[in-house]
Amino acid sequence: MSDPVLCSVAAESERVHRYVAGTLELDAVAQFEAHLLGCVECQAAVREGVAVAAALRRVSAVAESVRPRRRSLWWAVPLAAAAGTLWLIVGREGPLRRLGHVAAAPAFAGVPVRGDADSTSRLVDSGMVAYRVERYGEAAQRLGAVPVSSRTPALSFYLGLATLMSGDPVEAIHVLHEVPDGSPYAAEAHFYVAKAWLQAGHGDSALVELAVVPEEAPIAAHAAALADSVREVLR
Amino acid sequence: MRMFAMASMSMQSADGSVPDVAMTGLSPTIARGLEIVAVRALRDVDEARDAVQEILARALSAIRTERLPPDVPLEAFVYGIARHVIADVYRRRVRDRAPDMDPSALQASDPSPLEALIQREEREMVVCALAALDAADRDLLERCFVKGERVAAIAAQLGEPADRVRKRKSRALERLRAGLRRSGRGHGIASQSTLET
Repeated sequence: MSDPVLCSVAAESERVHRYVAGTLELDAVAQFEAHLLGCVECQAAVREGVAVAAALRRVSAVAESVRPRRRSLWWAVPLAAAAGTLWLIVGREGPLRRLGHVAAAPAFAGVPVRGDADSTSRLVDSGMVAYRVERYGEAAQRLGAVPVSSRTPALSFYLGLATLMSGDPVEAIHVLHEVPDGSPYAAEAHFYVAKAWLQAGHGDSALVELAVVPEEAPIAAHAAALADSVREVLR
Repeated sequence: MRMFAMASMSMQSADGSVPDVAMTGLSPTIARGLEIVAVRALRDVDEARDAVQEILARALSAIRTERLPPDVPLEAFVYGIARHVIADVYRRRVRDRAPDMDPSALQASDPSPLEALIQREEREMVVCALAALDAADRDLLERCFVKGERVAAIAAQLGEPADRVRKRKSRALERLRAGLRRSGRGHGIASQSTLET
């Protein structure tokens, strides 16, 4: 993506972003698509634009869902880049990461995280054994070998935690996002996603996740306290 | 002279025969472009995958039997086939839909059918990288890639020259890429094909 753009259509870029957004006129779409079939640069630009649009929609959706409680949280939080000073990034990263530290992962009491007995269950069982004895890297490896289509909310939750505890917050975010809202693990998943964002140095994203922890959830008090601490650091 | 790069893709045509793609060779660029076109039009990854295979099979058949017009660029020829195949899928959907189905349901109202082209991981990495941009940059990218506004319209509303807005957009994307590179995922964005097998 950092190579010089040789295609004039890709360089002009308005056609690309309007194609991605679906606002390009029909005849222009046909013209652009015929060109697209033979142009690597325009294909890359479209895919990049789609990723950017998807990410922006995701951010907007999360911000929208928390708006009643915290208005325009995502956009209102003064980001380090907006402040324009490096010390803000460097100065906050340490405290944020400390807040993201998870001293002890949620206990696993032996409740089956996957009901049906098949070959995958053996993988899950061995993964959860590793989790219980705090061999999180091994647990993440074994649980992560279970196909996404076979994962239950519980399995995604413990896989996310094992991944987080083994030091990969970004991957943990992806896995914990698989836990569907409405499952018994959803509130805690949001809490630990926030922890992962903090470990990655993104306090604003952590606040977004903490804001969607339901007030009636057992972990809500912890989430509120953590959010206060994050805001204190970001202030 | 046309040069066809080899594509190691396994395909099956509508009649069940498997074209020898590796021997005939169609540019992988065309296959990747077809993927974008088909996903956008059909809003369904599985149907798009089938459509791409059908399009490539028909194109290969045309090349083998020398039905490719000499004065038509290969891309334009393949795109013509693509439009026919996609129209066939639409017709099949109309034929197969339930009698009480709302015709407008054929046009999904999803935010963008093209989102099927990217992996969730890519999206989350970009979410992460967006946090490093300032609000003005994010707003500009949203107006472009989500709302699809023209640069001239954005510039007029902001009271800035269009060229400056173009440069701001370009720099915002550069910063985003730099953020992705720093996180070690710079080459992950938008580089994976969802449909390639």
